[in-house]
Amino acid sequence: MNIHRFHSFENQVAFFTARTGVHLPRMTFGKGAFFKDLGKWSSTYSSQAQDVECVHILPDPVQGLSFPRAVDVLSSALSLSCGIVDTDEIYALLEYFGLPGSKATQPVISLSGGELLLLNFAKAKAMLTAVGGVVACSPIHWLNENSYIYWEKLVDAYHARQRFVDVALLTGEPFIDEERAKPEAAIEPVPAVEWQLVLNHPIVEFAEIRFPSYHPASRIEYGLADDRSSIEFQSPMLMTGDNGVGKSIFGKILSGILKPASGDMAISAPNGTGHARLIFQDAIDQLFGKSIDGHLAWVFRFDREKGKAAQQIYTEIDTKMRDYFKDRPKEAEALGPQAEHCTLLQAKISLIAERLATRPTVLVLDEPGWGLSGPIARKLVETVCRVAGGLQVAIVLISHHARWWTGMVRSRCHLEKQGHDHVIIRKIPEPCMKFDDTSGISE
Amino acid sequence: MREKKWTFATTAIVAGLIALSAIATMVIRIPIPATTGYFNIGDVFVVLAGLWLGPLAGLLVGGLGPTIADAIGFPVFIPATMVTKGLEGFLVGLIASQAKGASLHLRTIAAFVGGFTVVAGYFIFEAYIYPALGKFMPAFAITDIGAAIVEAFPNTVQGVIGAVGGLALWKALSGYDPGKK
Amino acid sequence: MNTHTDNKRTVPWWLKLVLLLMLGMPGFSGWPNGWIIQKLQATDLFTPEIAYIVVWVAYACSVWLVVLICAGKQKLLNYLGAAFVLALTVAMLGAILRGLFPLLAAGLSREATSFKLIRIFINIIIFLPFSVLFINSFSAKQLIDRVAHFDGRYRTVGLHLALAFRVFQHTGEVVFNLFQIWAEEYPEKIVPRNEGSRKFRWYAPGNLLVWGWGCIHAWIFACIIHTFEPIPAMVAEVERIDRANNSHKGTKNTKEQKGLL
Repeated sequence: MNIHRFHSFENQVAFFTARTGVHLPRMTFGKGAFFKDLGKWSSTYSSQAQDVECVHILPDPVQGLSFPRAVDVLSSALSLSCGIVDTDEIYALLEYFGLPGSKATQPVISLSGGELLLLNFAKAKAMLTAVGGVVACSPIHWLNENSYIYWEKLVDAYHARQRFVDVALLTGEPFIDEERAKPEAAIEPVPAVEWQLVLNHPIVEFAEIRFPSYHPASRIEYGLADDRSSIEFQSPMLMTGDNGVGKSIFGKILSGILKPASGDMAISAPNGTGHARLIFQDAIDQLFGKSIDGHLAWVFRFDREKGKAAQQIYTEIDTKMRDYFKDRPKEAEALGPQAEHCTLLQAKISLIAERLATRPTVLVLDEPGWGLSGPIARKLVETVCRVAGGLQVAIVLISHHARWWTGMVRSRCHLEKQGHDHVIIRKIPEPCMKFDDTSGISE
Repeated sequence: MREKKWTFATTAIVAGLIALSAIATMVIRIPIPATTGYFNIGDVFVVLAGLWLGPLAGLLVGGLGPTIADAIGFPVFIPATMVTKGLEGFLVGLIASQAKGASLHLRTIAAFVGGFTVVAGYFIFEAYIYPALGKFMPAFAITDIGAAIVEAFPNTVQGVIGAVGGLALWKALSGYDPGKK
Repeated sequence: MNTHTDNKRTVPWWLKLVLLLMLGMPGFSGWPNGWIIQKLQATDLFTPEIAYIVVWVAYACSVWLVVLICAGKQKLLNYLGAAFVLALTVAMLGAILRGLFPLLAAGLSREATSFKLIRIFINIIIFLPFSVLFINSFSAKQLIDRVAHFDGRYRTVGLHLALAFRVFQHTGEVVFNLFQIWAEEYPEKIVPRNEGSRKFRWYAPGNLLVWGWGCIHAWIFACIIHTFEPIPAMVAEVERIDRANNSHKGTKNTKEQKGLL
């Protein structure tokens, strides 16, 4: 396995493009740069194959799936090695990579980040005999620890057939780059914010269109462990759970994007009782096609005071990050030039600053480490938690990488499935920390 | 890309433009009571398709995108839209394909010819073809020459917006010069 | 392994097409609704306008029932929400325009103009859910599978059609995703989240115009950008399928040969 490490998302994408010939238009520079990239792609596009055909696992894994459902994705992948595809093989592949058969006909767009990665693995396995190797960007970032084994299975299968495996990682990603994933140093405790979550069995439903056959809607009912109706947390709170259990969906309920079909949910925090605000897993989409500066200017067009507050919060986080980079000049590329707002890290800071300026009850950061190296993600979240603590905004981190946030989070909850469609939210004690003089924090 | 053969990339872009022109036609609809027709901004993508990808792409985007939108709420206008907008995209593409390099002059003329096609096409359908069809199929008996004259005004505004918007988007997309690295 | 029996029992595409076209027949041809309206009028119990509304609303209910059965309550409510917002916007804009520019009514009476707007309203609330159901009822991959076994240029044409279908479907997904992002940023959908102090009225006519135009502008470009973002990767994948299918004949390999398990 050839591992290529990068400090920034931008360089990781540049490597991927150079290696595969697939252009991914830039999203953080606004529409001008996007159109320029698209125009460049269409002007220079050639249908000639690369020297060696390979499977692509993109930084945003949904982009590598060009068909509407898992069954379609795997059927097309299998058709590369044989003309007639047996449906049993598709379901066997899904099972091999830990995906239940019910995911086969679910729209790809509705799968969780981890499930999308597992489906990419299944596709790569299906294409094994027809390609020379696989080029993967951060292939386990959205996976739960239990699912790392599926990446190993895929790599073993490729190695057994003498196929290459090129991995583009952001420094310190867990498991593959385990040694670098360890927290660098102990940190000062971040401010605590007490908040309460009240759940009255909210149920969200998802339907699948299958004309003319009736296809029952999938549903998730959330509840608290031990039949409680409310639970208290100390911010920063970490939310963990298996892939596909419904963490991101819960984040969307907290923020009011998804309305429960029945039941309800309420937040009580120092800043009031309103909905949470949310930073999505793929935060770039939240710029809504605008540049970083353009987005901020538009959102605060009618509210200069909050606009100024957002700018101050941005500057505060930016300054802390630049201080951090002083001793790490190689990593500084992730933040980009101070005068020009264009990197993914800057986009995340601006989206977070915008939300903190509105003083929400809770700010949910869904996989805040996506597109960032481990140390940078940790520094960013730590800084955000400090700023949020000062504003009495509670922080919820939805993440699979609990180790990244060790010593930072003050409470933790775990989501687990019970039965077919019940998800139980269980508060689990945060392990005691002890400080190691040489290597930082250990549990 | 216009000089090259039709590729999967062309298909994907055309499909995206068809979908976008359908959405743009659907979302901003200002109805014209005289004819039961409506003002919309879907022409932006029709003109863009012609300028960017040539006459065949213009024909497909114009002939399919706004037609899909008409199927949602205005089915009686499907024949008029399919022919008029298809012709609009085709003519824009045909004229623009004669332009050299990134020259804007001929492309501007092409875009405004497209706008004129919208005005003329709908006028012919609403003033002559629909009244004639209405004698056999009552569903088409919704317009006459008076209503067609009235609708020519909003159609002109629509044509101009389509031409200017399409040109602006094409200019943004043509920002990359293959000669410069 | 019995989870996929449902998938195997999927109705053939041509039967789906026939059933959906039959359902949409009144929209395309006016039949049989026009005939029923005539019969109702003949009873002298209904005016032409009321007969029209009764028949088309009954037809709307039958379309919604089919959507409910095929897509479930939540999706139906989502589609109806979008359809009613669109229909109301169109009808209200039409009414405003009629007041501002009476010329555009071309001499039609106020009642006749209102009835035309009602017809537009009913058409939209019927055909928006119907169209979304129609588009989502077919699988792009099934189309690819079908044409992949053709020889030569017909197979390639089929792949182009399948790719076009997928991109079209993707655009629909993009719009729904953008709604989620918009809802997070603007929970009240049409009102800015950050409205400023009382001294600064965002809803003053000039600001309202800025806000309205900004929203339209943002949506247009967000739709374009998010639609085209994954297209290079999608094109690369379909090309791989095309190249691979060009290089082998349709033979069924064993699982061991393919190294699957």
